[in-house]
Amino acid sequence: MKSIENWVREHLFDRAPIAIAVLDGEHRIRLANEAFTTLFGPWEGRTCHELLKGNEGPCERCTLDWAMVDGKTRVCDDRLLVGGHPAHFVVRVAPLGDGEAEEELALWMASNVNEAISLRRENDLLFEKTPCYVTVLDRDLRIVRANRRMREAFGKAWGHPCYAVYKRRNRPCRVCPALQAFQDGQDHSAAMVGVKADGSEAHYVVTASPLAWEGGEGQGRVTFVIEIATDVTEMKILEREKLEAERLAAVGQTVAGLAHGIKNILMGMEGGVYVMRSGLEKGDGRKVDRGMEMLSRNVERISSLAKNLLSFSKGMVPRVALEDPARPAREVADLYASLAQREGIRFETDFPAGLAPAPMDREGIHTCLANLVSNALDACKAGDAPEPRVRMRLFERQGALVYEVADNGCGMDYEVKSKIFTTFFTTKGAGGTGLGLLTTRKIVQEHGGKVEVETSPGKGTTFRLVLPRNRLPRCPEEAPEESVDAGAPAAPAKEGGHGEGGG
Amino acid sequence: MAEGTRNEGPVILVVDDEPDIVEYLSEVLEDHGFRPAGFTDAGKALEAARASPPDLVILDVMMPGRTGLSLYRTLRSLPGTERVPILFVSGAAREEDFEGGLPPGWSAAALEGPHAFLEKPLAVERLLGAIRGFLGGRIG
Repeated sequence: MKSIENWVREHLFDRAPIAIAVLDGEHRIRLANEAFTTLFGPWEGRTCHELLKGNEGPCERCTLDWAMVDGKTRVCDDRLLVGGHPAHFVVRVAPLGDGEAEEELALWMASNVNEAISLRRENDLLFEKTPCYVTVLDRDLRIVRANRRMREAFGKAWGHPCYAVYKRRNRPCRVCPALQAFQDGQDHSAAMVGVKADGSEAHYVVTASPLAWEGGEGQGRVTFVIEIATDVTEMKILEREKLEAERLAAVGQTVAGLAHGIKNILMGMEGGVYVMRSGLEKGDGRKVDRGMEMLSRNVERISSLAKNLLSFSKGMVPRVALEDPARPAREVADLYASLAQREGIRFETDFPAGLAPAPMDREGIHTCLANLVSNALDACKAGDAPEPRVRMRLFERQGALVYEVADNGCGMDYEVKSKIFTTFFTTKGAGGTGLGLLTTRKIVQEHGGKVEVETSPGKGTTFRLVLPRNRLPRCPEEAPEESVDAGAPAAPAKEGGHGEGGG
Repeated sequence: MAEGTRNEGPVILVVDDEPDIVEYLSEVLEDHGFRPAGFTDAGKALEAARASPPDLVILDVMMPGRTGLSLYRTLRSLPGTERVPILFVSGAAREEDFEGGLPPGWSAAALEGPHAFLEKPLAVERLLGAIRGFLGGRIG
């Protein structure tokens, strides 16, 4: 035991694996150990600022001076020259004097932290170069850190609220995943639309995740949240182009269907003229009358077609506003309930209250539902179910609004089903224009949705208008804002949440 | 609407869901020495063809319930009508669309036996020309 103490007393200074020196009040190096000498070279007769910094005079904020003044141990980060190159050190200076010493001396120790620094740099690089918009927010939703891609896309971010930077708003968004993450400490996601620094629209999906807590990981209030946003603008553009192509195709099919309908009517008119002329030539008055009847019947058909076309084209530019999705359904139900009763058809409805409002052309959706209900009633009349029934429902399924009209009427066979949308098709002879379902599909497509059909001959038909909320048209007055909260709370973050208050 | 046959001469089945078109074509055919049998219902037309095979069929391609093409397939499967000439008429496609077979999106079934396509509205002379092409000297 004694020998260890002796050994330490004699050798610790020299053998310690850390650079140690003794400095005087004039910054001169009075003594230094082996590690010091190895790192910084010969020191005899030199000052610390000369040897360690390459400066003639003392440093502007000298830790040694501070330590000498108040007699306390000081710690600082410093860059010192090793072989002519600066390296990072943590330096500690402890005054040695006990007040009775002849001169003021201080113990100086330095440990190399280059490795720690480079680790931190790697982390910074990762943060900076992540190909997403990454921000760290405080509880006031102010951005305390933003990565390069975010700064490049949205401009100056530091110190500003996220909603101001991402969306140029002056108040938080209606659906805010960051606020939710602050509240419940869980991950939250949402699809958003922002405005970039160059004024262009940015669509992104953002996930907010708690980063730091008051009392350490998972303890107390969340103090910082990290938001990682993936830009999906390109995808949105492609989706929009696809939607546009679908709309154009619908227009093409409509025009083709129209041509078919008009040709049939034209042929009826030609027939009228032919029969009339033939009657005149043969002096057959009854034939002339029949020809006249054919002619006027087809003139009537073409004028009713023209009227229908007008109502068809009315939906060309949807008048979109934020609506209660149940409203058009209720309106149509009110319209047809008494008619159904008169026909002895049971009419059931199921429209839940409290569905979130959705941007839609209410008149357009009304037209679609009226078409479907009218068809369903006709199908019931044509069918032979003992208790004919039409059921209207509205519900939400996987982020989509679904309007459903089901009947237990005559149903459709494969051939009819395959034709209902493709041409100017009617099963109602001269009683239908074949425009109803075409109009319905067109309006639904303009809402970014689709029409589903399930049918079985003799058993009935179910039509569904499926309108995904994230594809609905945007209200003209609606400022760029989130289109939908894509996120039910995700599982809490298990790792990666240990930041130092967001750095 | 004329259902049944009149006059002498070849019997032509006219099948179209538009009553005015059936009446018009029947009138034209009758005026030109044929015996038209007009139907707006494909099922009834099939019954008639089964009972007494016609000399030619004018068939609307697009009809509710049973399309012209499915009626065509049934006719081709019956012993009396397997080779009967069939004139398809359609307002949904142009004659040039039928060059080299059926236009895309139509039934993929290959068409067999004598047949031709005519576009609506039908010019009387073209219709008669097509019929004469199939029936030749049989016209009275």
